[in-house]
Amino acid sequence: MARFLAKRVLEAIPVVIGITLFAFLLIHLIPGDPVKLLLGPRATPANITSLRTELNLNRSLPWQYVHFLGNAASLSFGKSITYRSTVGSIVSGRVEASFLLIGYGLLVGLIVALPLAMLAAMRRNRFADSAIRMSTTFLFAMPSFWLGLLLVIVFGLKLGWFPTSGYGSTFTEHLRSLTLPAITIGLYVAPVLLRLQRSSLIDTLQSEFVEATRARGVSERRVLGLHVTRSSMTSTITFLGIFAGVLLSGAVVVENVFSIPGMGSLLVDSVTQRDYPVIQALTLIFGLTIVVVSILTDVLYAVVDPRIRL
Amino acid sequence: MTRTHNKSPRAVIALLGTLLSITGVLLGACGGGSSSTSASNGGAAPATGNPVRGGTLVFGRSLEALDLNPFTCACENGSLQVLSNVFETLFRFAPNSTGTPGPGLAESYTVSPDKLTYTLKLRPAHFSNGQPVTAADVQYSLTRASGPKSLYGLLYPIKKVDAPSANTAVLHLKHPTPALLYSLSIPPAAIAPANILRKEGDEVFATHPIGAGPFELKEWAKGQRIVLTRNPHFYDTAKPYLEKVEFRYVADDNTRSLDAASGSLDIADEIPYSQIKQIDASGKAKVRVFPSSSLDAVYFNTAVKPLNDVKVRQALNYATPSEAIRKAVFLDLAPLANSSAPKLKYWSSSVKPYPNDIGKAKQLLKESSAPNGFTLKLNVIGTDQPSLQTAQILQQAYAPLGVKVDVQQLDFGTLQTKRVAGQDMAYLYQPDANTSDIPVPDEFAFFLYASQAADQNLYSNYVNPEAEKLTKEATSTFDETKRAELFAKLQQVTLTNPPSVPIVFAPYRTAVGNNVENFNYLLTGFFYLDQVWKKG
Repeated sequence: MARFLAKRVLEAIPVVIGITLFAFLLIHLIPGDPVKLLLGPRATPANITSLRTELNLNRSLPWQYVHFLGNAASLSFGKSITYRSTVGSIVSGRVEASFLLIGYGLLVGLIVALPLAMLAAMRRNRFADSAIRMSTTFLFAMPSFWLGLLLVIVFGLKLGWFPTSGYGSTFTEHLRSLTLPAITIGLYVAPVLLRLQRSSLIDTLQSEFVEATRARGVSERRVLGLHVTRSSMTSTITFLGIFAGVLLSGAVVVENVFSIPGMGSLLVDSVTQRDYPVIQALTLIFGLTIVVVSILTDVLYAVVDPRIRL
Repeated sequence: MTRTHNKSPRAVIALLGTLLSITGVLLGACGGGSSSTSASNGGAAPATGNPVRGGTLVFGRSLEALDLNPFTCACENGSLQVLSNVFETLFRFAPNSTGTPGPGLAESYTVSPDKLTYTLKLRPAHFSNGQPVTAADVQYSLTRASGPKSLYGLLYPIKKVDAPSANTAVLHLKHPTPALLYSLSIPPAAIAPANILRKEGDEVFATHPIGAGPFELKEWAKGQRIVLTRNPHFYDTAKPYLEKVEFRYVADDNTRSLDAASGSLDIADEIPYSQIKQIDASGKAKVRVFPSSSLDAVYFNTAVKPLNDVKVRQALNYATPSEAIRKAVFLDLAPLANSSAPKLKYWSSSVKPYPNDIGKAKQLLKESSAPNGFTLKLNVIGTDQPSLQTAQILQQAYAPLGVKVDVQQLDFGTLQTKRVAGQDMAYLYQPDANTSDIPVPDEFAFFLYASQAADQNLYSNYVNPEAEKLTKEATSTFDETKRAELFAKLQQVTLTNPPSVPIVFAPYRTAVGNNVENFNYLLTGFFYLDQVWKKG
């Protein structure tokens, strides 16, 4: 296990560097000068030059990239061009909201998908199965921002149960504010989870070990709840690992729709303003998250399925 | 990964709207539609009842403050709206008025006969930390605001500031400046405590600015919210009425509108035209339309062929169905533009806008350097619905001329960079984004017609010696009648030889909660909240 982990972490280093390099090149390739955007049309050439020098933007691109890597290694990302304060102070306030949103959304997705998948698998090709599959296809086809808006109009505006946007200031307020966005994300993930879990359950239900367990007189509840579920979870876990990136980018849209001060909405603003240091820090965090999730997925895989040895 | 419009339901709605509006345009053109310039359901609603003390105002904005140091900020509207409430200036704009600014920190003033020396008497006032405002602070602040590092040309005419006594400040000017009092009313001319700025430096000061304005900064979560509380040391002891103001940064238009309709925001700015009815029907807030100092136009880079030919620009003006755009895109809420500069003081109604005359347009184009038409590359901000709708109407309207409009949807940063680099041909801005800092035309006339040396007349490369001469004359004339005459003449001259296709004077659309009283925008894109109160 330790060897496996060490190997995966070492492998991850070039991946993360690759991600940051790609993001760095991409953002510098699109036209747009952060200094001119910041200072506006009134800026004199002298104003522009002095700010460019202060921000190291007059240096060559390779120099800027190496400088960024060096800083990143010591967890310092320099100063935000737009807000003129440290990137750390701006990004750190945003991490919690994003991860809370994704975690909450994932939870909603699992709560919706797992029981329905079980029901659909047990009633395979009967009315309940078809109804569940039809309705989730419909949900999946809905763009998440639109679903979000519908939820806001019904539960925020008409019924007034949840805030229409924002994040609140206490943990309970966070949860209340994040409920509609989390449902938006949850309902987006649920159909895929459900379909995977359903087919995996069907496979497992047909396998010999289930028959054997039943023959040993184990209660049906225990057969389904423990043996079948556990054995069928592996493909769902793999999927979640791969889906982490999609979830993160989905959160960017949802955060914007619900005005949640997370990393996604910050990324949108930073790209608009060409705030390079913030964009670089955020891509690094996103990249790291995906790498960490994929390592965790492998570990979890081994925990759920004892046949797998790391 | 910007807010791409094609992911948005608004895009679909807008497309439908555009189709409808194009149909409307064509019908209108057939009927030879008459135009009326009456618009805007007037900004100010009269305040009712007596002011009430206390309460928190939650203000949702499409913009965020970027820098709260008046001497270093680029002072886009997002910052100005906060600065104008935290800092006090020597003079103050009157709401809904283009009139001479009233007293602020300066109680009274005298001007020397040569108009080069202003002697100001300061009122007794204190900064929010309790320290008195002195002439030394005025000297420090205005010296910085007019210095070479300042981004505000409006204050460059100040040569030197003296502080002969604690409550007397003397301004010496480089040349007589009719717009001086207006320029002294903008937040970049704020008076700040010299000792604190000297001790802390600009960066630290920007994190907790101290001014003599009605409010003080309590909290600033960058990119999220700004909290202001009542300044107990404000010189006008009756004000502000509000105890607290919370500015929330709500970037998404839909979200901001829904927040206003649900009552979770007391005020929400930049309401999309399509959402006005819904908010009005919510029973929680009403959308108020305030005149702005912004001109919505197709702006040209007149250095690019064939836009360098005045006949081509005139032809496009004749071919533009401005009245139809005004109705379809701006829902009849914006006055038709009869000027290539924003509508400010001295604006003249006697200058006639271009009629929509396709015959005349065809004839002019035939006489021009592009008799067979050309491709007009039009840059628009892809997330801005009014721009997209306008662009689509123009595509239809210019087609009979043989002018193919190639619409390029860009994000703001790209559009701006291409524009500044002179790599564009024509562009549409977000209609009410580009505002004048003062309600008199001195600033914009200079930007548009007389700043060729500095920035090619705001990157338009527009060359019009007569307009330049008129601008210089008008901005240095003191006699009000003469000034009005000169600016009216300038308006005519720059419409006959247009640098752009003016469409409408785009207004601000602000959702104001039913319990909020006396909220008014200034023409300049910011506001004073000390006059606002909330009914119990």
